[in-house]
Amino acid sequence: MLVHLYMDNSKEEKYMDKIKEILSDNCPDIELEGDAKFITGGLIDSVDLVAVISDIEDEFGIEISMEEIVPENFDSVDAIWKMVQRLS
Amino acid sequence: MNFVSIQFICFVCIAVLLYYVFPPKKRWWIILLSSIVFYGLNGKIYLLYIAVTTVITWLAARYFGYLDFKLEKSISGVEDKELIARQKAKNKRQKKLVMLVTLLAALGLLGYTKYTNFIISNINLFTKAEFDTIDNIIVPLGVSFYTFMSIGYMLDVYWKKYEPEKNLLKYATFITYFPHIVQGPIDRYNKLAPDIFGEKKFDFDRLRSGFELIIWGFFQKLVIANRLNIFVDSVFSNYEDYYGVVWVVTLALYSVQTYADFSGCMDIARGVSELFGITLQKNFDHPYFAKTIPEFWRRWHISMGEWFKDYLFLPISNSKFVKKNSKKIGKKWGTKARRNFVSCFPVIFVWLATGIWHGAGWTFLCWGIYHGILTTCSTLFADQFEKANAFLHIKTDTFAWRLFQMIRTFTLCCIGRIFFRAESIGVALTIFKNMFTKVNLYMLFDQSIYTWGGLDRPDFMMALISICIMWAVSMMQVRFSVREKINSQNIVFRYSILYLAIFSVIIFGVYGSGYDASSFIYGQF
Repeated sequence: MLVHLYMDNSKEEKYMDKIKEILSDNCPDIELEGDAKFITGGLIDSVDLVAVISDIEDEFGIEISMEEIVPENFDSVDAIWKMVQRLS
Repeated sequence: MNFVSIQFICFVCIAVLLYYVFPPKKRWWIILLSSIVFYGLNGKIYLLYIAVTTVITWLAARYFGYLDFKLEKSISGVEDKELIARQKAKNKRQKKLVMLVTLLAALGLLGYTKYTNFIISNINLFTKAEFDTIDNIIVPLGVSFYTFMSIGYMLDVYWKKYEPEKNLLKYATFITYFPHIVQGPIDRYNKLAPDIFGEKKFDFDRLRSGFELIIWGFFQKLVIANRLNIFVDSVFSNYEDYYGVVWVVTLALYSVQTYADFSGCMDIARGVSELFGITLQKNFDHPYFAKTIPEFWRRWHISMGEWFKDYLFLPISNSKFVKKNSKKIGKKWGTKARRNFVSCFPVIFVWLATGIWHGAGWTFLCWGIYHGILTTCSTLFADQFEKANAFLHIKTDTFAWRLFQMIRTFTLCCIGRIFFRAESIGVALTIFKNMFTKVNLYMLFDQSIYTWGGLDRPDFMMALISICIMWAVSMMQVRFSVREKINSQNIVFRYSILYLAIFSVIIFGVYGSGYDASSFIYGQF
């Protein structure tokens, strides 16, 4: 599934929900709402992170290179979504 | 020159004095100079090895910066997407080649100094060849630590996580920084450099705080680790004579000794660094309070764990091979199997590397494999463990359960330490066998404990009391900063504690025969 940079709000929400679903599947205890930082706050460990990366790549048809694997890109749903948009 | 020596204390005093006498902008020169002096005093030839690693990784990073700049320039304003893609591919190829060559050179130097004889003796063992081992190989002080720091820096620049450092001397200051060169922590350039090169004002409170940390480090090393070393060393030297409960006590004490030794060294290093106003990364977070093995490894030697995560685990899990095969596995066995493969396959490499990083020997490899198996099982069977707890109606949110988990984790670590400490796998297996072939609990109560390991009753009691103190301090550290708490008290209380700590180290520290004060357990890595 290719993500386009220009999309209406409903599509964006749908993709954000998909990211949340991936996060919930891989890290069931994670609190998705609120200001919690997933990586810097220690909520997602490296083992869960690789599973999240793998699912995101499959879901959005993108390739996440090592340059992108930095805490800033995975610290929140918004950050992940921004990265997905950038790589699409 | 070792951290635990009068020479080192004098050296630090002079370096700190010069540091604050110099103008703030140029203070890092003193850091560089004192690091070179410290390293050179430990062995002049070491300087050559560290210089080679420093220069090649710096040059490689500079080259990556140059190539990226060239790429930006060549594609700016270009509309042709094919041309841009070609330029990017060319850039990637060039960078990759230089990265691989530099990586091989840096790891080759590490491998040559640490593993040559291990490789030769194993070739001889498995092929019946008769190659001579090399007697005079020099193992530079802290070679594993500075090699990892330089490789980390080079890869970070390769992945464009930050810009390369233009000034070779500044980069050399980071690599050779003497508080972290002996036993880590394995610092990251982007995190430590701003602290080293930033302008700092003289701060007496910080100086005092650093001094307190040094004293606490000396306490752990001299009062606890060195005392326990006498006991542990004596039992391990006569491993065939001891059975059952002797090994249970010895392994527990060895685990405490390893922690006190390594954590003590880290506190001395962090304390010395604080004298310069530079904060080193925390390398321990009360590991023996961990409830699972993966949690233990997030709390023990943190900087090494993070290094392996960032530069081995993630690149392997993100490699084409893993991605391709994970998809195949996913199609065949479902999502869960795919996830398990993606998370567990790289773990095998991480633990083999962790084992061999600690030493050139099969015992270290076995120790790594042992922890790898525990970590992998913890991930693979997490659901089953949860179901088992539910089936057995175990209340997992109680103190008793958490305590059980901590004791279980500590016990598993103690078992692994047989491989870590034994001279060979044969010795480790004998110890393992001896541990379970006799039930001799009575030996805990018949006073013979004072004869096993060369610690008489007062010394043994001293060891137990000091372990209790360390445990109590750890309990407090979990809740608040002990140093901040002490420093917020009135001057009489504050200095009473400080003098008590200093005199405890002087009076109860083990400096006598039977141990080598110059050797920290992790110093050999």
